[in-house]
Amino acid sequence: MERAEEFALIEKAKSGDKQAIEKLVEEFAPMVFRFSFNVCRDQEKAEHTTQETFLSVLKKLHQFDNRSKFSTWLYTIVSNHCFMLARKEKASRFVSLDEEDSVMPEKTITPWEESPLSRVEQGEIRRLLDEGIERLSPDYRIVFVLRDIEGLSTNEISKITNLSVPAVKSRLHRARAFLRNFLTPYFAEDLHD
Amino acid sequence: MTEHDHDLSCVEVWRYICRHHGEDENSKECQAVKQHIAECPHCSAYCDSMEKMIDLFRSNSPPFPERAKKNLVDLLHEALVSTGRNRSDETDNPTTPESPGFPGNATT
Repeated sequence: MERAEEFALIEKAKSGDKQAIEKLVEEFAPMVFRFSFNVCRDQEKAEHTTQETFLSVLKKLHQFDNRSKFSTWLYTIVSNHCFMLARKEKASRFVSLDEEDSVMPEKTITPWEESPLSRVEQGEIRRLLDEGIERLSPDYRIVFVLRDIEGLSTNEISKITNLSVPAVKSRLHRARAFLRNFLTPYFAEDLHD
Repeated sequence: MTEHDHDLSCVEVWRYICRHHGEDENSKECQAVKQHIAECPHCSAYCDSMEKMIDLFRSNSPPFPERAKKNLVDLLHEALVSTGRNRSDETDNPTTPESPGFPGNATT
């Protein structure tokens, strides 16, 4: 959607125009849901978070001043909802990534299969991804999902999360390294040969 | 693949891949990393597995269900009616829900 079109739509939605609000849902709810799902890895929770996010949007929309992209503003709101939801999880489940040694790769680098999806069943892949994400604390999850799934720049993530750019990169570094190391035993090619 | 020591250059390359993959691809540092990866099978395998890991997550997101979309639209319509767009009880924080959760820049 063009910026001017987005601006006009938001102005209509601010005045309570139902069609404009429906159009905002049409345009942005899939993005909010995808982000929520990838942070919590639970469809029901992701639907709930999407609802909560749009209720917040409805309530706060008149405060949105168009200086940032609407999607950036949405990511800020949904990130906070996801963080609050994830904070209810037991912190003891989260892996400690404070030391860089904890994310060093295996001594022998094992290449992954050419197509990791071909060997492992879809349901099993889903379970592994769920387990990997759930072991990351929420701030690591959110940074990873914003960068690698949603494709935002580290500068945008810095604004959304209120973390410095070096802090974003540090979390990204450790989250990526942890997830890659966590999944390697299941997708490394020579372990299956 | 044979075992190898984690010499500094490979460690630096892994760190770089984890921090900067997908960004800043024209910088001098990135060009040096690309050159290293092209010549080092360990770092090449590491970079490849990182990209495959990211692709796994990207390709395993379910679509937003139509049912959920309809429920959301209905919920928002109800909220519009029930509040009558009354703005008197709202806070001045433009970007966060009722109780901000993200810890901010507490640690690096």
